[in-house]
Amino acid sequence: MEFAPQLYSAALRMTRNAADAEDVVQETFLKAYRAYDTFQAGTNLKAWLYRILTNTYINRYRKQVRRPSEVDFGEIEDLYLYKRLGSAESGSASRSAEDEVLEQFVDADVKAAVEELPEHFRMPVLLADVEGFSYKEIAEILDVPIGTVMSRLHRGRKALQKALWAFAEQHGLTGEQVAGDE
Amino acid sequence: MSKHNCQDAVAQVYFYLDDEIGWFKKARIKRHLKKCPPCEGAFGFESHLKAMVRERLREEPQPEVMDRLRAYLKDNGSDFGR
Repeated sequence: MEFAPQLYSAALRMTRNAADAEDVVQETFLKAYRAYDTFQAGTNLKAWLYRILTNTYINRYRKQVRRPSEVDFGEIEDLYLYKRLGSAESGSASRSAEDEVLEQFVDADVKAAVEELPEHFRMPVLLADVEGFSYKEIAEILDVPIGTVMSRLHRGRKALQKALWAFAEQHGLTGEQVAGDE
Repeated sequence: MSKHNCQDAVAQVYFYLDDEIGWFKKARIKRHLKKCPPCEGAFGFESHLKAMVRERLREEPQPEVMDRLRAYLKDNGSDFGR
C-alpha cells in the first residue's frame, strides 16, 4: 500500500472530512488493485494512483460541490501576501519579518484556507504544493491541458494567499497594534 | 534594477519555484535576484510559503485508518493489503 498515507492526506483536503477521505482511499486502492493489469510498468505509479483518487472523489462528490464560478479570483495581484505582510510590518527593521509571520500560521488555518478554495483551484494547488507533482503530471491526473493547470494553479495560489491574509488579520499576526490605551 | 526586470522576474516566480522553466530563463532570473534584494526577498518568501503550506497540510493517518484499509482490501479480495 505504497503512497496510502499520502493519498489519505490528499483525500482529507479534497473531501474536507475524515470519514469521506477514508472511503475515497479505500475505493481508490480497490480500483487500483482491480485495474492493476492496465497499469503500465515503468510509468508513474504515484501519478496513476492520484488519478484514480481524483476520479473517485469527483465521481462521488461532484454533485454536491458548490459552483464556484461567481467568485472571481482573477484580479488578485502578484505577491499579494508578501506585500501586505511587508506593509503591516514596515515599522520593524527586520527584512525577514514577513517570513517570521509565515511560521505563525497554525495547521488549522492553512487547512481551512486550502479547503475554502473552489475545487478547480484546490486540486492543482494540492497536487503541486503538497504532493510535488510537475505540471505535466497534474495535467494527466486531472485530465486537463497543461495551460489550464498553470492558470488554475497560479490563480489558486493567489486565492490561497488572500485567504491566509484573512486568517492573519483575524488572529492578529499582521503586527498591527490594537488602537486604544494612549 | 530596472522595473522591467523586476516585473519579468515576478511574473515567472511560480515557474521558477516549481522548476518548470528552461535553463536560460532560470539563469537570467538567478542573475537578477543576485542584484536585486527586493526581488530576492519576494522569491524567498514565496518559496518559504510553499514549504510552509506543504508542511502544514501533511497529515499522517492514524494506525486504525491503515488497519481498516488493509482489512477492507482483504475482504474484497485484494492482496494489496498484505
